[in-house]
Amino acid sequence: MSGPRVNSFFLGNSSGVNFSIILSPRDAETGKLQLANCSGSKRAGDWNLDVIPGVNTSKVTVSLSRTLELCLPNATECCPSPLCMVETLQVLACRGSVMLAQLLIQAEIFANSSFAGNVSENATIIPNQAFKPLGSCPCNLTAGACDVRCCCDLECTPDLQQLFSGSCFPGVFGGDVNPPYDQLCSSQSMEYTPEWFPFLCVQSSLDNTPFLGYFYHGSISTPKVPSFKIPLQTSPGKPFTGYREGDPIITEEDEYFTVPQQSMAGQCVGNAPVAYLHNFDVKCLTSLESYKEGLPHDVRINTGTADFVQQNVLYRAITDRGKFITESESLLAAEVLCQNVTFAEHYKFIWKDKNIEQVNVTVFHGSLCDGEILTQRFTVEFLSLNSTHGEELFENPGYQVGKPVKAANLNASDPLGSLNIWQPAGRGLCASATDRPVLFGVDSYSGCILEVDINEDCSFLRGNVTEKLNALVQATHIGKKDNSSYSDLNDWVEIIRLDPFSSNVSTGGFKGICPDIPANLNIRIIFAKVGAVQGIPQQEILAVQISYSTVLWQFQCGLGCRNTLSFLPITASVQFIEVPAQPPLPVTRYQKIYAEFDCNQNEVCWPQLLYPLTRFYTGEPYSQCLAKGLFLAFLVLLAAIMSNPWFSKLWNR
Amino acid sequence: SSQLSSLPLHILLHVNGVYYVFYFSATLAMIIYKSQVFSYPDDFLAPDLAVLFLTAILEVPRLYLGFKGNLTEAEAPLGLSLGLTVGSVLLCVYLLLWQTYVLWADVLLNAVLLSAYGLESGLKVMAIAAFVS
Repeated sequence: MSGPRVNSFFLGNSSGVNFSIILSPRDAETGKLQLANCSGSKRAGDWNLDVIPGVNTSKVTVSLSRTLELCLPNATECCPSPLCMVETLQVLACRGSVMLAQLLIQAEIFANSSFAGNVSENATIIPNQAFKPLGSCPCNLTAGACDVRCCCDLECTPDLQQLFSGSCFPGVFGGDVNPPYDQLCSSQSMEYTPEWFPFLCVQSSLDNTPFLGYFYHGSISTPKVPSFKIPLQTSPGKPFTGYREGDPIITEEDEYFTVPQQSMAGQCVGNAPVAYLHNFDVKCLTSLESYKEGLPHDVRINTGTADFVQQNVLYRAITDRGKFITESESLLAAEVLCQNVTFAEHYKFIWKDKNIEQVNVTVFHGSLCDGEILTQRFTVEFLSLNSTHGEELFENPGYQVGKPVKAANLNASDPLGSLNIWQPAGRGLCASATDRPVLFGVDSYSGCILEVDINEDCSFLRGNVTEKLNALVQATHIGKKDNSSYSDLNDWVEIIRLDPFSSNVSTGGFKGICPDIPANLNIRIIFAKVGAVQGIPQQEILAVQISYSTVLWQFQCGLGCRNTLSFLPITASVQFIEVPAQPPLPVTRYQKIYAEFDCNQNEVCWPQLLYPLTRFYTGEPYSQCLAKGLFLAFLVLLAAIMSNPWFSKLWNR
Repeated sequence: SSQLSSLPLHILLHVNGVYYVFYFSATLAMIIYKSQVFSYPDDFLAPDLAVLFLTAILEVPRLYLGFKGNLTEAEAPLGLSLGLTVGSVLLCVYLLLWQTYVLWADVLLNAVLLSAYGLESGLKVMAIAAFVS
């Protein structure tokens, strides 16, 4: 039988010591304990005494050997009331008849208050939360039994409550769900009472508190569960009827054919689908740790007629590793981990109408070692069956978005020119950066970092920066159309150059600060739609302007100012500005009338002004506005009645 | 000539009329104040306002009938006025006890009005007794 037990220790030599336990009744009148003598046994009533002797200390255990269950109707051996027993025990240690030590135990034991009965099937009625807080006693967790330290629990008898009334749970959790608020007349705890407080304090009971809150009876809308599945163009049952431009290319297993491409954020994603008739040429940076192999080259590709074509793969080894690899800082001579990886993949899709006839892949592979940064290159080209030399898709003379802008050097002997912007790699330094051509319609902003010595001469720095920026623009004219020929001068517009203002202001001998460095190159290209060919709008470049923005370069001190090199970022930005070649379409009468009543565009919103007749305005509760409106109507009615001479006759009678 | 019309009743009715105008505007202003400062559960503002306007609607015929009955020494209008007073008292008790928020000023105003009603009812009963006999 397990029940409460208590341990104590008897210090001293316990040889020859007799331990006994006796129940000591209290004297009813005086309340004093009766003196005990050494005659007693190891059992007294329901109590047992156990002694484990030791050398210098003995463990004395007093235990109770009865149940502490609350009396149920048919049970015996139980506790009739929650306070099960109040007894006084004495444990005596005697040697012979001499009392050596005495232990006084006062036991007040309550019955176990766990609920053992049927759970009722009735649902608790939840009160309307506009009037009564839900959960008036949050600590009342057990039904049918008293929760300890919960002073708002009604199942606790006063005797039980008295036990823990000193340490009740405070605040809301302890049942104070309706604290008196400041505007109540009976609340004294406010530091600042306004002067009108005695008149406008709330006298009504605490049942109506503003803190019961607003409960909004809104309309219910069922949420649409977002389906995160990518809708495929094909479903297994439907026959595949060919690719249209922009459709993703599907493999044999009904999955996307993926080639790493650049995402909108700029970084490369490995599993981007390839769109039909959209060529691209991307460069992706990767290293040995983050290298991931792409799709295996033995997957077959859906041609568009539910037929599948195998990829014709040609493997070649890289010859010039330097074009792809940028060395990282740490370079160990030997014993570096190297792996055979793909350096570049060139896909050529031969197409006809809506189908793919052939897929030719050239894969360049080489070894990549730990610590090196690899610039992978992936190109996808769609070639028509008639011509396999990579000609234009349509005979579209105008510029297409994404095509490089044609530049020319018409004054020189070699007319070929270039208009580029930076394409940095590795650490982003200008020394290791490459160029890429400006693409039509693509606003870009790129740059690289130039390392400048602290002792560098300012005019030398200016010259250096200007030279680097001018290297990007190696042209004097830009082609108006994509098929501008070098022989026709009318096809080209001259680049308007606004050279940087060279100042001869000296810094007065200060080192480390240089004003007016033309570090930003702005290329502004103005284009317009000048017509349409076969329904495709033609875009032409009208003018190009190149200007420089100056910055003030100041040497940036590192930690402790021990560095001698500081960084100067030089940037090039391209901006395409569309100019309307035709006047805009006239606004229709319907649009003009609608714009007047459009609440989002006007300052005065007529439907909202007619609130409460129309319910567009949502800033005020409808019931309040209605009440105010009715009151106004009542006043108007009153005024009308009282100003009637009939009424004044009635009043004076 | 013995005059059966009760002068105190007339004075009281007059004072009641003036006081009622003040009472109505003050209670309306306080309801507007309460609706801005405190939060009303849904549709609890409407009954309070409705009761206030109902007292206004009852007050006018009540006072008119009281005046007329007293001056013409007829017990029918006075009796009708007494009946309307009972209704007004009930509405006043509602505004005093069962409003959503009762301010202390509400208690004051309604208590004064109730005492006026009580006094009036007493005087009307005495006047009816005088007219009948």
